Amino acid sequence: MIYLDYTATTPVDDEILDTYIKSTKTFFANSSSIHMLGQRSNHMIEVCSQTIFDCLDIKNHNIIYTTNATEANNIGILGYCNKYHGQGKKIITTKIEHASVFNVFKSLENDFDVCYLDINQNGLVDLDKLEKEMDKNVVLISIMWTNNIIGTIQNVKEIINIVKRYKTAKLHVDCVQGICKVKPDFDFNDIDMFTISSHKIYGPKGIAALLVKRSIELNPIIYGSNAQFGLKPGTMDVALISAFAKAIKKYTVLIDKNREYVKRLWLRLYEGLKNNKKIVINTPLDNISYYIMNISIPGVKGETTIHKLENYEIYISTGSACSSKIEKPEKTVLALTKSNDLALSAVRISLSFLTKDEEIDEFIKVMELI
Amino acid sequence: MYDRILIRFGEMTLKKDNYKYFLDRIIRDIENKLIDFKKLEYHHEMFRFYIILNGEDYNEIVKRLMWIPGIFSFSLCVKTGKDINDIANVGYELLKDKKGQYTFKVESHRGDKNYPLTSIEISKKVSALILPKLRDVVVDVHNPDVELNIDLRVDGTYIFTDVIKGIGGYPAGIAGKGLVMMSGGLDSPVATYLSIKKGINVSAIHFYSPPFTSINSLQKVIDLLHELAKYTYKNHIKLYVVPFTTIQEKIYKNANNIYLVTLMRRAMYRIADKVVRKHYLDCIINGESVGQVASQTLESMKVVNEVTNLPILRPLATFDKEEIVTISSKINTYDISIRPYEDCCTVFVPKHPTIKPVLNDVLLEEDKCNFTIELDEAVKNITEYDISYGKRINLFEEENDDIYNL
Repeated sequence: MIYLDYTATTPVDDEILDTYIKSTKTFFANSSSIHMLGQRSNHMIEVCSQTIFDCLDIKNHNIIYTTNATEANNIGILGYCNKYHGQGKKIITTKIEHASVFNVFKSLENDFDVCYLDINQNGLVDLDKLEKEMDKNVVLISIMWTNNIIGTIQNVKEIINIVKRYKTAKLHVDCVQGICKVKPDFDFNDIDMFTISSHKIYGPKGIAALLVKRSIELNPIIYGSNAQFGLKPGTMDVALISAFAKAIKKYTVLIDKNREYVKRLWLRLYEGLKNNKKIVINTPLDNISYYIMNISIPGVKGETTIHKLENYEIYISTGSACSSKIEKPEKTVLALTKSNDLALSAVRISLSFLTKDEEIDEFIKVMELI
Repeated sequence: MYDRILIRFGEMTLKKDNYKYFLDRIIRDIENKLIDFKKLEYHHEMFRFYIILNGEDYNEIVKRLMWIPGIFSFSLCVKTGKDINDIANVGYELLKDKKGQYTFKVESHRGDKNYPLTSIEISKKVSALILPKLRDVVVDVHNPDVELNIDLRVDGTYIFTDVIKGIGGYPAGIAGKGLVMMSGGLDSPVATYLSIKKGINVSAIHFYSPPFTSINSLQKVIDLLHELAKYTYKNHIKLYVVPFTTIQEKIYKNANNIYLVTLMRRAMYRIADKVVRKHYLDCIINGESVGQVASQTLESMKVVNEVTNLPILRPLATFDKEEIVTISSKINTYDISIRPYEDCCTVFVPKHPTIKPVLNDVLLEEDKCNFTIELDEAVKNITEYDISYGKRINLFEEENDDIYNL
């Protein structure tokens, strides 16, 4: 089996699984119970949160644990727009966001003037356009850090600088594909809200988080107790949180080493595919994470390619696993290439430090055959 | 760029015969606080104390200097030769990274009287050399935003711009020993900080009333002291936790409701008095502020104070709440203090406590409670905790369980 779909999800790291098992046995008590056992669970959550803060070097954020990044993005964006819609009527995002951001903005079109920024041929958001769109009426901007389809890294540092000039505008950044994979050249403390997820970095599924600056209040979209600032009420899973914190702690220090390794693989893959006449490589060469390569085989639907590769026990994706069952041109590839044909035939190969050279070579060989 | 830090001592320099003693103490405190920076050297001459960086990162050092009582202010400096061009170059390097528009002046001091230029000439010459290279900068000799200081001495020239204010006060632990009454609220940590800053070596006493208060409230006190321990001479504060439930229950059952708080405070002072004497301390310290609550009116203080003849320091006596909050935010105790747990002062509070207790009535009520034996029992059953900065005690963690290290 050759698994090249690490952007969709990763297998759980053994050490992280051990943390999960130990924590779930030790901290079975409900962290909201006020007795000693409950408070021990609660304390463990505090330890985990502090670990995450330390790893990301953040000082003024609260952390809200959610079931997945989709939920975190919803809680952040809807919560903010519901709370502060009196301050302005304009919100800005991009055409290449993950569905959990993009469709939230779509849902707000009745109440807000929504702007979807384009990307240029390098896969980067047009910052001049962002500057033009910014005015006093803007309340929220959401732009992802590392793109999940084509792997480009947005210039978050510059985006922060632009947004900073407007007092009422706040910035949300989807960091799911960047965290523990790319070293940020910006300071997380400068971002008002951001989302991270565990299962993309060898942690278990079912746990993600929204980090929100302490000065920001959000309106809840789910109602219940006042746990987690009332934004994500309900019993917290200490074990999942422990495993998440462990994943962040373990993989933060490995960012450079793993990226160096994956970059070599990416270039190997690039060299192997660039002469294949059937294939168009969509991912640009610069400002990319090297964890993702998007390619198209014009005339062949992405889905068909996936199933062909299945026969060789090779697993890749058409696009975001969350939207890959819909038969539509891939919106990010469309925004990048402006070509319907390329967008319909796009597939995504995603890599890991677990990927071997031989697997890349085998993939290249099979791509010649099919 | 910077190669040393110039430290200025405050009020203690006014001392005459004791100056050397104060100085030894503060230098030892500085050396202890910076002990893990192996490359540092310390250089001391009359009224000047330098930390020579030898390449160590000064950001963390600056942070720690803010923990040392007795430091009035300090400046990051550069030492260079006496050539006027060298001096101007260093001056330019220090100024060039300052952002935006600002006014500046050069202030020179010539310790080397054989130097051919006078101090005014040095200032003029350096300004003339620097100014053309800087954009958006205007000279203002009366009210400058930035002052470039040039201290030209026999062994070289010391140059600095910013003066960073230290916490002031006297060297840690020099003024004697005090026992601070710690409830866990906003006031007592601030009172503790101000006492440490004034050179008092503090221990803390906390009245613990389980099951009416939870382990969370004790953890809160431990966390507060942990935050404060970094200002002390050995980064350490001793905590005495007094089991107070029996006494509180006795008062609650026997005395007139309106005197609950008065009687409770008297019991606390009596216990504090015993602890002070047992451990050879010199005074009691608390966070009382005149008029803040019923037990902190002058009438109440008078009646409560009557049980001890030890000096009682109330550093916050005349502070407004807002001033207290400002300090507690500065010393990072605010967020801990506002954790929502009951403490011994908030359970058993009557709806309308008396704000003007009369001593004779109080004495009659106290007789009804008869807690003399319990006071001694409480002192006997004190649990002691050693709180050291950097080694946070956590009551919720099982010892030696590595799960907390993830």
